[in-house]
Amino acid sequence: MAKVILKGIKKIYPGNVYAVKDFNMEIEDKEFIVLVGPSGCGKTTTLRMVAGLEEISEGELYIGDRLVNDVSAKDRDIAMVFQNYALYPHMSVYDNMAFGLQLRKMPKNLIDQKVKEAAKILEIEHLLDRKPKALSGGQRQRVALGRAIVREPKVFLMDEPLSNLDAKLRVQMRTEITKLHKKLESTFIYVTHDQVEAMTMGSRIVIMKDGDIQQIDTPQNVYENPENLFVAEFIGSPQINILHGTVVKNHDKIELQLDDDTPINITEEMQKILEQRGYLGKKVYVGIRPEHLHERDIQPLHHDFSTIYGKIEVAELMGAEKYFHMMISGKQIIARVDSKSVKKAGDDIELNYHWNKVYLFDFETEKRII
Amino acid sequence: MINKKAERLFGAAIVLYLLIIIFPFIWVFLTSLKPESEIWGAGAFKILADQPTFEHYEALFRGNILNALKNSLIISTITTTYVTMVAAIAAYAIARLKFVGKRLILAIVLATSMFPQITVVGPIYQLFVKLNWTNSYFISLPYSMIALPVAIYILVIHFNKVPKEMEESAKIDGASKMKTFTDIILPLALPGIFTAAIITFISVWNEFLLALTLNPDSSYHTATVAITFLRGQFQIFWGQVTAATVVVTIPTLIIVILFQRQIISGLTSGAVKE
Repeated sequence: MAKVILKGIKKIYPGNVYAVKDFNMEIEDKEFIVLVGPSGCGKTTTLRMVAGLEEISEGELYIGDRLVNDVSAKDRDIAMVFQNYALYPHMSVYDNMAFGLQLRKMPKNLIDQKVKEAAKILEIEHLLDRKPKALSGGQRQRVALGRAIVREPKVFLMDEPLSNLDAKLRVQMRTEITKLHKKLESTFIYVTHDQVEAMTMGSRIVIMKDGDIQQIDTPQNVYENPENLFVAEFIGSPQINILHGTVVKNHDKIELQLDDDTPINITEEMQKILEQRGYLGKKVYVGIRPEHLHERDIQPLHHDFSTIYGKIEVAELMGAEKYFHMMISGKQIIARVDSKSVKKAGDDIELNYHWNKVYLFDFETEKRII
Repeated sequence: MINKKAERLFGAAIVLYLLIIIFPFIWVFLTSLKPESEIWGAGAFKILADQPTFEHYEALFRGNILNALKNSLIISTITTTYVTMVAAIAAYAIARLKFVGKRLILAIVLATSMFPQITVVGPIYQLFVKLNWTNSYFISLPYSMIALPVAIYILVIHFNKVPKEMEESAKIDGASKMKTFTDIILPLALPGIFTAAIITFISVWNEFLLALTLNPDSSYHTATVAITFLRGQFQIFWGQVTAATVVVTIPTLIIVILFQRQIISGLTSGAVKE
């Protein structure tokens, strides 16, 4: 049970390669923090620095109230779950879980009690005598979790623990890890490249790119108020639609003109901001999330909306919803509509969007204009 | 269907090849059971002797062979133990620690095993004479020099196969470097350890040149050397030579059969998802 504070943490590899550039964050006790980003963004390196497996080049790391930069991994009071489980193949499940406690010279009966408790929580009591190779992927993952739980660490570190599981199991284990977090009431730091895991599990998400933090916020805020183009594109599935538009004045009204002259309307508030900041005549990125494009006949909007027109190239039925793929203004666009829609590939479609659901990003800095 | 036929043909070819390879050994064994009179002349081509006899074996065991076998066993065991231990530690360092010139060291280690033995016999003999080490079990030292490079190389390969996460996991669990080595790495690299040990043991057991040069006294003869001394002034006791060959081969045969089971390549399966 502890806070984790990262102050100006940097990882510099020989040759002046910055894997992590100035990572600053205060992780509250009992938080579930998810570090997310594409591969090579520094998320795993950050986690490994917290774990003590990687040296911290610069900055200060506190776990609890203790500066732990020079404290070895075993004394940091952390436990880590690895992507490939890293179970000891020559030891039984029981011994795998007991190993860390044995090394700490804990009395045997206490070890036994803790291992059995953890096994009960994870429902692997019947597997205790088995060797890892006799377990399925999901069971191995549970053992790996169990090995972490028995230690009762202040902080749990998880490095893409679900990415080796098949899709169905991944969803199941996702909820189980969330439940586990509630039950254990300790701090979790979780690394993943999967934005769905980030959104569903994290109490706060840290989105990283090229060693830089892009945004730290709750899943909802990250989704609704992305600070920049990268975050907007990374979070959300299917991806947000991004178009290129030029800010133009048309009869006292400021709107965005796409490359093929299609106008995109925005709220009055936004119009004012654009004018005040001198965006007139400049290019911007225009983002609209697929679920904010509504098919006129199925889900009509009533006020403050406009329409764009497209021709469906591919229609995908996902079950409860349909994805329509279109080309608009030279860009691939996806609309996520209700599965009641009868439109199919080749059909023309009218899509409505609310003005306040249009995200604008600066063309140079890629920062969101608000 | 062609595949099946080809497969069968291939199988037959392998069996034939094996028979050719094993034939001399079988013939040596058969000869060892023939009385001296049947080894030469008309009886030589008979598969089974008319009057099979153990007289060569009896003669052999009355002689020096038991002592020679004992010497071989002691020298091989010392060398194997020493080589395996040193190679394990050296290979672990090469496989896991980060230091400058790692590749160069491995290359040099391998290069030393490329020297023809005959070129090093002279200097080593001189050294042994000066140190008064001839006719002793110190011969294990030059043997380990010969066996170490291969053992290190085999073990580096096996240690590299042990996933790094295993060690990191142990590190977080609280294991020291040594504890990680003995409790995690060694058990996982066991097939490699056995392979290195067996190769070392057999190569030492079969070594002849150094054994002949450094331990000329018959009380320190190893088995291979002892065989060559099975001769009189005008003749070679072929019956005893063949019997000795059989006797000397048996330990290596036993070792291979025994430890073959230990070389289980699948030991690490299930540890990590490949």
